[in-house]
Amino acid sequence: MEEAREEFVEYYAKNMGGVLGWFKARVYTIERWLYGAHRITGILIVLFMLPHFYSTGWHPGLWGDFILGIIVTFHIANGIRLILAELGFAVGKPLLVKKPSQRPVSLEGSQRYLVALALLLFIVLAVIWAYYALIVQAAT
Amino acid sequence: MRESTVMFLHYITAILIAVTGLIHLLANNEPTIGPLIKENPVIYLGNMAIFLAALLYHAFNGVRVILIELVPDPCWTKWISWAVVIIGIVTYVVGLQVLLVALGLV
Repeated sequence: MEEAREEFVEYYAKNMGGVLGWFKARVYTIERWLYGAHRITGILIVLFMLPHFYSTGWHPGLWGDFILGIIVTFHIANGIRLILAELGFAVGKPLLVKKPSQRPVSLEGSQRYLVALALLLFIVLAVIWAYYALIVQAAT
Repeated sequence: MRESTVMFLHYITAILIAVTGLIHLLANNEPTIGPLIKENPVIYLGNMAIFLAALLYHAFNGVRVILIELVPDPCWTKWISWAVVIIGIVTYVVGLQVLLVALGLV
């Protein structure tokens, strides 16, 4: 039993999934999807920063601004959820998982509300951003 | 540095980016508040210095985390970490210099 567990841990420590493993999220919870999206949005923001650093006057344009804002607001909203979960808010007491079908407590209850709140915050921030990027900026 | 300290700074810089990045956006786009921030070089430059430092730390640490997760080998991890630290410091110095030149202070 202990040996099998060690082999299991060793196999997953090698991270054989690679980049494609980020997207093998079909059988997992919504947090797994958010993890993949957080990675992708982070990489996209870094890719945006490169030309912006090279030429400080560079601008992604009207629709580029809109898309960049959507990406950044998702990263911010999900990042707030990640910080709260890291600091131990809304995680719940750790309990022994007895059945394979039973989900860990950290993925149930208040953590679910935190996910919903993060997605809601994302939508609110994205709408505010879209208003400024598409309507206010286009008018000036 | 311990990995927990690195990740704690990752979250601190995340909050710093949210605040200073908003000031950066307002300074460049807001017609009423923007000029007030921009005409004071201490506030503008100080904000940019903090913003650049926090952003570079956060971005390079994010890239480092992704890389050492994809290549979970102790030897590679060490080299990736050092490379990221050196490239980050060089980028910060170059970025500050570009900023000072753009403001006409150098």
